[in-house]
Amino acid sequence: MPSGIAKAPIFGTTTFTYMAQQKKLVYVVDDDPMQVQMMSDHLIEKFGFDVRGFSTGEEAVNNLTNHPDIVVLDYYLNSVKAEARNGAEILRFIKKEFPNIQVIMVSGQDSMEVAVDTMTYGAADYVVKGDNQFVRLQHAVEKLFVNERLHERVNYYRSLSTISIVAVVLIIVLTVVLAAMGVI
Amino acid sequence: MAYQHIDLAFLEQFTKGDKGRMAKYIRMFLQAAPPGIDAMRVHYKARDWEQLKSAAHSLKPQVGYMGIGAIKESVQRIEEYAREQKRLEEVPQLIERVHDTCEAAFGELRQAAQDLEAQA
Repeated sequence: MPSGIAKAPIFGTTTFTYMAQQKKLVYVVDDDPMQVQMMSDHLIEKFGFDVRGFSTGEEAVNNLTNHPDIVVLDYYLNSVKAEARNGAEILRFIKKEFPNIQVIMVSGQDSMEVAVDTMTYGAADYVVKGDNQFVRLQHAVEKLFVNERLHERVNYYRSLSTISIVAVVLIIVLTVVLAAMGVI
Repeated sequence: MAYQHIDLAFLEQFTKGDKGRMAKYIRMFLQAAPPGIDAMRVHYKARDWEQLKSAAHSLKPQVGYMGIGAIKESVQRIEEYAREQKRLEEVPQLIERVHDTCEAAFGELRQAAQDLEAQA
């Protein structure tokens, strides 16, 4: 995900403070315009994202070169266009070609099989449509930020430990050289 | 205002009482739902169970948002029967139940949208 400063959320609440140096770009893909509108409105209201809606996975895929940070992807995308590719196929394509894009799958079906499938193909989370979907979508996005922060911290400490090792080695070499020269 | 077929509690909570937004979502539902119900009839006649499932699947969350509780189960059953291709002989009756209840709900929703727009 591109640079941004996200404060870690307080677990168990919906309170989340998000600050971004650059607005994150989010694609919402659903064949139901009402779903696109409601999820987009919610993400804009809660996070201030730059959100773009698409009614098919193909349209979203054709715009992936804009490098969205997150794609919110419906599992079933063929209620309007019967020949439209389903969300699982689109997910596999995205994760193969753009592995850094985080995908949150959304489905009206509370099915363990669908959930396992989508997670296996690399989805970051799975949200079931219904009255709670917007809160759950919000939590899924917050979880992505937490993971992003953890990843940044791991990288930071990894860099720090590398620098420390190099410094210790330099001190040892310097000590040996100075000792050999009789300076110490 | 008390309604018989709809409950706007979810929309009110979702929009934090923003009447303009509530009306916007209601208008979207009023535009999408009638063709969605017609599509279920067409797909049943064509014995296209996959598309019937998709049409019911799309309608399911929408009726929830509009609080049309009386048909939530019927829509779920249409989706389930189409997906599993079982008890298909019951589907036309379920579609008609959805249609009749929605027709009544549409009237209330139109009125609600008008009222909300007037207050926004």
